[in-house]
Amino acid sequence: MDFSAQELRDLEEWPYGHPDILEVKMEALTARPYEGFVRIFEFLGLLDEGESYSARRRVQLFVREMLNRVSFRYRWLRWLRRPMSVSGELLLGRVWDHRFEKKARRRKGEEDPRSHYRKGQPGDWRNHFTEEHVAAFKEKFPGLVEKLGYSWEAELHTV
Amino acid sequence: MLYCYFGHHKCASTWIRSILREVTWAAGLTLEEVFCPYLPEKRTALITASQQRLPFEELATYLQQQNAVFASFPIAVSELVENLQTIPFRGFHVVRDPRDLIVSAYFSHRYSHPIEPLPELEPHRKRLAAVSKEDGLFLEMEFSAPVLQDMGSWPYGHPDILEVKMEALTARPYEGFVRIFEFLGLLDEGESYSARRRVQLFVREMLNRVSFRYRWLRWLRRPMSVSGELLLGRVWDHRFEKKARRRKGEEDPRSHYRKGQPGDWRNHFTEEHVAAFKEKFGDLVVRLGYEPDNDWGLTPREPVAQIPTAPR
Repeated sequence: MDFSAQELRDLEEWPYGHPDILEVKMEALTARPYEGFVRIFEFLGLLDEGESYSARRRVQLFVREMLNRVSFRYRWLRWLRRPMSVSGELLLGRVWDHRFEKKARRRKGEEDPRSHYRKGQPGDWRNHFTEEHVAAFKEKFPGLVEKLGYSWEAELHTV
Repeated sequence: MLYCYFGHHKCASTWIRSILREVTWAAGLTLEEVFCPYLPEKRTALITASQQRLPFEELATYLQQQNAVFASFPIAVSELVENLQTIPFRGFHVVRDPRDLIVSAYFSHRYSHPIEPLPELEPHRKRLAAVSKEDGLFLEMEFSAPVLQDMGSWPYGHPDILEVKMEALTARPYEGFVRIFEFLGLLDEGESYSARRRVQLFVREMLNRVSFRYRWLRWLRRPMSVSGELLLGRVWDHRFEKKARRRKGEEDPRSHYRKGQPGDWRNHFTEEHVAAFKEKFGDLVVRLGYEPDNDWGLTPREPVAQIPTAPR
């Protein structure tokens, strides 16, 4: 709590309600990653909302995507780069590539304390905090949990 | 192995079939659609995609002859499962809250459903147009009774069939289709792809598509498992917002994609409809897992309070 205090203070001081910033709860994003990323890219206005693609258009998009990738890998090929809006397939495909089950090689909720992708279960703090931790947290960071839209009581229902 | 989709009328079957068609095309999996007549008294045989009569007991042989890898049954009856026992298969079955089904069928049969695939619909539509919505819903309970009876007599709990609620699938379509394809064992669970592998997959996908479009190119076809990107991309192409050009919950009574909101039956049923439904269909809603018991009514029940776990 001491070491991570600055992190929590940053969360506290954030300018919530900014019209150009979408506020996202990590719990909601990891619980429904596909819908979550679609919503983010929609908000950003980066999503290609176009019609279904003809075979010709799909080939064009695929070639463009591959050229863009190569343009970042090799500096001398950066002239190949053409920014484009993000198709649903491109976005969802990358979310799929990075699904928790693959990163962690476990299902969500199964724990490996030494893995970067340890458990992925919201409300897990209840399994580790004692009453003393709760009291210390409230004293150090009064009102923070509520300010971020979480609650000490109904944690499991908010996500 | 044969992979099967078992659906019902007004249970998102148009949407599911569109997605399956495109995914199986790209993956080079031959998809065969087999229809069952809508009215029980006409169910002496099945009907193939080319409108041929197909006796129930010849179903498995027929699918093998057609080299079908995926079979789609938009009107699912338990006899299909009985007649598939001779071949190894895995499938998924999609149901919907039967009360919403009645309301959905009422609007669809009154305004938007094409007559051509369902000739019985023509006189029904005329009757619906002549009466109030309240009377129309009673008529709809008669007309849609076969659908509800099919759902009621389905062999639930079959180990090779994943049971799916349409409401869950439309609320979380990406996770839902991933789960279905995982269950079928058709999902490519491989590692992230190198650029080289992605080009290979893309070329394969395009060749598979073309192999179905032009018969003389069918030698190009190479069946493959379905990548997450391929599956999710097709689900995205068919998202409700695009089909309906509205958000879920916004209504257009004349559209095939009318509203997309579960529990909408409460906005249309009266107490008389509730009573008639229970008399006609007994505890069907309970058996399909939409109510804990048959004491349901127009007023929603209080959700069972969940007691938060206290910190240890």
